[in-house]
Amino acid sequence: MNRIIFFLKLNHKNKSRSILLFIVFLIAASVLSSSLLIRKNNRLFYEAQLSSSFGDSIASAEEFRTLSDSIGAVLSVLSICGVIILIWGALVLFLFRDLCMRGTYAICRIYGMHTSDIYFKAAADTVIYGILSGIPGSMLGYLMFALLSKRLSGIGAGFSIFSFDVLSVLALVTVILVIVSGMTSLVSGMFVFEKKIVNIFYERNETSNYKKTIYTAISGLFLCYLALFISFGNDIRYLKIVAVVIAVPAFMLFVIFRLVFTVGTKKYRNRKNPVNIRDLSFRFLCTKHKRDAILAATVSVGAILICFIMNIEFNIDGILRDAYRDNLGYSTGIRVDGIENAQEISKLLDDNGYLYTQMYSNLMNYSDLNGCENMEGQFWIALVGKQTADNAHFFVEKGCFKAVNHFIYLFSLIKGNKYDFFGNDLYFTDVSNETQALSLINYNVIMNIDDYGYSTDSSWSVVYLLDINKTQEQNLAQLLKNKPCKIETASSLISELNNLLGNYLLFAAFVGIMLVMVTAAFFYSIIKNDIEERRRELYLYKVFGGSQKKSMQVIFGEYIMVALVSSLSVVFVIMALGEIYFMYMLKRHYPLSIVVTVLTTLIVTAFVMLCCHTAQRAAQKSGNITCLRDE
Amino acid sequence: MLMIKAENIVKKIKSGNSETELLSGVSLEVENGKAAAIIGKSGCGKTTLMSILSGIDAPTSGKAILNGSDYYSLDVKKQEEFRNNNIGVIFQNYHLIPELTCEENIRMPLVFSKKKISDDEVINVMKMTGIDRQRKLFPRQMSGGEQQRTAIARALVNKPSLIFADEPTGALDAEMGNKVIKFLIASAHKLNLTVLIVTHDMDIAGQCDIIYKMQDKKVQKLPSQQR
Repeated sequence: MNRIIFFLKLNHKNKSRSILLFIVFLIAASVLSSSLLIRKNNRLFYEAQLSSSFGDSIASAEEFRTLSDSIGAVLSVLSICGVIILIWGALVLFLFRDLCMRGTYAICRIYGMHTSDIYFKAAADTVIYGILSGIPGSMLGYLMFALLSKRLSGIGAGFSIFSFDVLSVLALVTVILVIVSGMTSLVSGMFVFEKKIVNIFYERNETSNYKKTIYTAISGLFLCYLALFISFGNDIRYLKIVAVVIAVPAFMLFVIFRLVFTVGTKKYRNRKNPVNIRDLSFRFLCTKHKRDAILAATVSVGAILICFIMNIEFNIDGILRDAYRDNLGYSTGIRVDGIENAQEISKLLDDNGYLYTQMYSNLMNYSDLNGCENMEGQFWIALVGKQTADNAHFFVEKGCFKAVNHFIYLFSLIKGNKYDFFGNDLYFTDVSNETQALSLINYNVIMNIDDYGYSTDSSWSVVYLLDINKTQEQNLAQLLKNKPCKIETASSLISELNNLLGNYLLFAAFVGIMLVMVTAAFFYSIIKNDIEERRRELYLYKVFGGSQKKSMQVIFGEYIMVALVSSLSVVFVIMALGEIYFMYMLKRHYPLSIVVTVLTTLIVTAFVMLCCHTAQRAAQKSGNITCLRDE
Repeated sequence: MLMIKAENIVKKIKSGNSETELLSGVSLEVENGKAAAIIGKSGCGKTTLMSILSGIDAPTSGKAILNGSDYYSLDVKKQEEFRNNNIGVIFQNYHLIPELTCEENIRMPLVFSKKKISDDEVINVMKMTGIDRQRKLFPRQMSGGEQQRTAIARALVNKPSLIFADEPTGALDAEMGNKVIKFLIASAHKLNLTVLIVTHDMDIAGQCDIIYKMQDKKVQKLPSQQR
């Protein structure tokens, strides 16, 4: 039997853990490969998708690019989250497996296993998880990509799975999975191998030198970062945000919980002796500070993330509406059919007390500008008629003009200088907002209509830009029902955007499933491992007259207390600090829903209870806790 | 020829701010083909000495010369090779791998060995230890005696020159324990192995060729009359 086969046999006897790991890698491969395939082909598909969703609202290739880049960014963030979850999950599951098998590795080392044999161990894991799950996972990702494309653009994948483009993506994804599986297996193996044999056998504590393990972990992370950078390019910048949002709170919570449990233990030890199951559970609670702090921090971070995501969902209309308004400068636009109808619309709006900015826009030639007679190309000019000071985007004083960056660059404009513009000397005062995707009005230059030295004719289009709430939008739509104009509201575009984003929820769902699986596996492993290590304790309860049920209740009670302590603290943290943090994240105040927060606490606690119960049942079924025979 | 030679072995361990001395200058010798026993009360340091001599725990000072080599002066890789080629270890708690069957447990040292051991030789070892019928069973399916015999077969399969047994009969009944010890000592003589057994049982120690008594963190060879 050669070494790889030996490790293949040894490491995969625990079928449930192996299957779980296989599925996690499979899902990660499918998310990554489908995301990369979309990014590789996004121009074609986004144009088809976006034109079917938004139609005339998108006029230019640049607007497509803006929206497609945004969707691409969302996909990249989801994929990067998927890879982070994969790395964390693989490391945790491999570590638990290797820790459970430390006695086995110790006996192998006594009988001559080299320290370098952990590379064979890592190779065995790489074959199973990196290659054997990476390849079918990537192909599943291709199917997801084809399904999504068919659904969104009606044109299917458009590429054969055997084309170079697709095969290169599948190969890249398999390489990433090979790196992740190999490095995490190596790091977890090294962590166990650093321990002295004699300390493992006789369960002595030691302060091991984990330098080699830390160097390997850092090298592994660097390789993963490199692979992700090759895959995602610039979008890798989102990795920093994701890491900070998850890692920093997790670390802080770990430190806080460890302190709380340490102090709690010291305080409780001097009180009464345990007289019932609850007392016994509480007595054991906090004795393993690190373990309980890790559990509590994980539960808390999970609860906080779920809570915030649910609250974002709860406030999504408001958030999108505000984002729309912030980017475009208005919430509702009215495009008039023909300049001759503008007066009628203006009168209706004035009579009903609506505040608006009236804009005229037209496409001009550069050659129409003084001194640019030989220049080719066109630009959009927007003239501001009646305006309200509340609309900072389009507010232009008389004698001034604004321009977008491209125009500024083309004519080397300097802020504060005067320029001859359509018959008048105007000051260039400000850079105009670039974001025009989904906007009713296009502009490269904005100036006051009074400064425009020429008349406006039927070639000009007239738009009215308002900033109103949803109810006012509905009233306005009613008011202008049969009038010669077209209304575009934030609400309608948001609902289109929601529909479009909803299709991409497939990705979010897969990443969510991965997160749930990995977290469940983490809790399951930690609890099952703990139960098996405490089988003598459980056996003693039985010896002294306690039933198996009661002895399990001690452990169950302990874990539920950890879950409750961490979930309830999350409620407190979110209620006290969440509003501030939420406001900081979204740059605006959105009320946190108490119902959502409390619901999250209950869901998370129930989740831990389920994992604990499952782990206990599995431990009981395996027979390891009823048998005290040392093997 | 001396197969095991301990020269002034000292072992200290740190516990918090203090240092505890477990062994203070242990010296012993065992010749080729002999069975030796180390006896002593619980906690006197027998297991610590066994761990050092079997190559799994380094001494604070002193030398462990095994089969002519100063074991702890070898580099890590050579130590691993030496253990694989020369040493078999039997523990009180068997330490079988629960994920592997009886036969797979016995074959485990061969995975890391460069020696060519044929299937027939492996089967012979299983027959010798009386475990060939249980070859497909997992450890949890076997009795204590069967597990210990599996551990003995594992220790013998790679044809080592040294066998270290730490309380090999501790988990067995008297009859089975007696059988195991007789078998080990017979193997030592028949296969020209050197066996070192740690035990607290004088009856078991009495069956060996040499007895060392552990006292006050040192060993003392007992003359034949005192056994």
